[in-house]
Amino acid sequence: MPPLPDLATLARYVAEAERSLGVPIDPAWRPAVTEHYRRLLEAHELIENSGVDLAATEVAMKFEP
Amino acid sequence: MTAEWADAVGIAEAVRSRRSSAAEVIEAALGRIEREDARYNCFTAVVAAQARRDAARIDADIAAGRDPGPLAGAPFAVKNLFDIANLTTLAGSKINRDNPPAQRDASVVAALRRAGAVLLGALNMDEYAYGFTTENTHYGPTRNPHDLSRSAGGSSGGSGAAVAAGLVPLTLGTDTGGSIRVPAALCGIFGLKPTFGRVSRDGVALFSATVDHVGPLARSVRDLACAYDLMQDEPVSPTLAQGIGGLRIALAAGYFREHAEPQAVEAAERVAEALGARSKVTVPHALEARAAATIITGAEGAGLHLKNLRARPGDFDPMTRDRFLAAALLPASIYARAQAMRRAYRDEVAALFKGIDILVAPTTPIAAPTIGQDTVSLSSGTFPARAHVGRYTIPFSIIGLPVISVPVPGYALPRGVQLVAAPNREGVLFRAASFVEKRGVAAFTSPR
Repeated sequence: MPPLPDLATLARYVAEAERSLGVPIDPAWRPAVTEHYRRLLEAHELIENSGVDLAATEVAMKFEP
Repeated sequence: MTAEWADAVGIAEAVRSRRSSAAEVIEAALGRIEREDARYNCFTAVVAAQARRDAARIDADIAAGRDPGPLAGAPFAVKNLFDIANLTTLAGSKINRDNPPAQRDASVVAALRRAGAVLLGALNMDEYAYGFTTENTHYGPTRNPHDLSRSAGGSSGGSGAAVAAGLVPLTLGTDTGGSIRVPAALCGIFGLKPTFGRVSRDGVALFSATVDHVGPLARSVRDLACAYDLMQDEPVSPTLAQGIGGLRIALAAGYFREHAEPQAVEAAERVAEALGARSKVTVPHALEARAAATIITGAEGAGLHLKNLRARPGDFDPMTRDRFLAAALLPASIYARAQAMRRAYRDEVAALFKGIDILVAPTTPIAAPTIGQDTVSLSSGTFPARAHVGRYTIPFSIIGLPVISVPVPGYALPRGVQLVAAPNREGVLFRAASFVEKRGVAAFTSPR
């Protein structure tokens, strides 16, 4: 996995996603939203680096324990 | 034990044997709420008139020789995301105030009322159940009865604090990443998160559809068992006297001992020792499971509230809004990869449980944080306090395992320990919880 983008790049991602999805983000909220977005990408990075073969794992939308 | 601290089963025994009346019990509980709840901020609604009618009906049934049910006259209350007929289901939000009142009770609320339990009201929570501290901007924080400057935990914070404060003996909550177990631990009471799918969510406002669970919180194991028996089909109460003979019990190592206060680890060791645990096991990929849960619950919650995030984001609680907005922007592929991680992790943990019956782990790595506390400093580093509270609970709920959090006395602030089993093995958990309760290793301690 390449390293996570820097905060300025993340802020651009958030702005693009905001426009395409039609979710209005008040400028005052933007730093906190960007930080939470960074944490979600960090979580994704952890999963990708887990060593688990995700491509070979069935994805179930109806979860059964 | 005074009526204030009697458990629900004990109250019902007194009412059924006419040592007290349901009307007396309910008047006393309503009086406690009236006098004391301003300190804790547990209740967002009290249904006093309905409760008095229910109590009168129970007393009339007893007088007429009819069976009033196993929880006759026992007061209970529910997190305000359960439907209560004629009340608007807030789910901790300002937005839901615009909704019409519920037409009928949630299935589990109806089940407890049919058994004679008397509903007293609805309880505070984090907005849309997205939090671990019940610091609700719209309705105020719920305060921990053991220290009013501290959080009661969340998201079922009102459910935890109302039981610990002696306002009611029994409450219902929901648990997505720890929202029953965390308030149970931080308030010093017992909490059950059943196997995913075992208890009906009919009439419950969801946060994350593939992860949400319904369960009880109480001051005794037999209350948890009684409530659970009334909400699903396979009774566990008969297991309480069975002891722990033949059970293979292990202490969780690795992830579940890291980034914690020493007392949290010690409490788990005490319970494991009392249960005769013979081994330590490492749960593979617990950290990655927590990461998957963060993505899945955020994305599912944001999807559920997308219409309002677009139309009226300013009406959300700032404590949840920014996380919902960030999760709403995630690519679907990231959500799908998180679901794949969850499935792989489920299989790994299922293999682990082939060799053991019960896994013991701390419920939270820290005791109750103070209200408004943003970070917590431990010997291993500094962490976001609110998220860190859920570190040890999330890896079990994301794969739907049954867990009982038991309170471990002897510390300045309450500590909880999780007993975890394979899916649908609640019976072995109740055997172990009852065993440590009878020996005083797990016990509710009054805050007064």
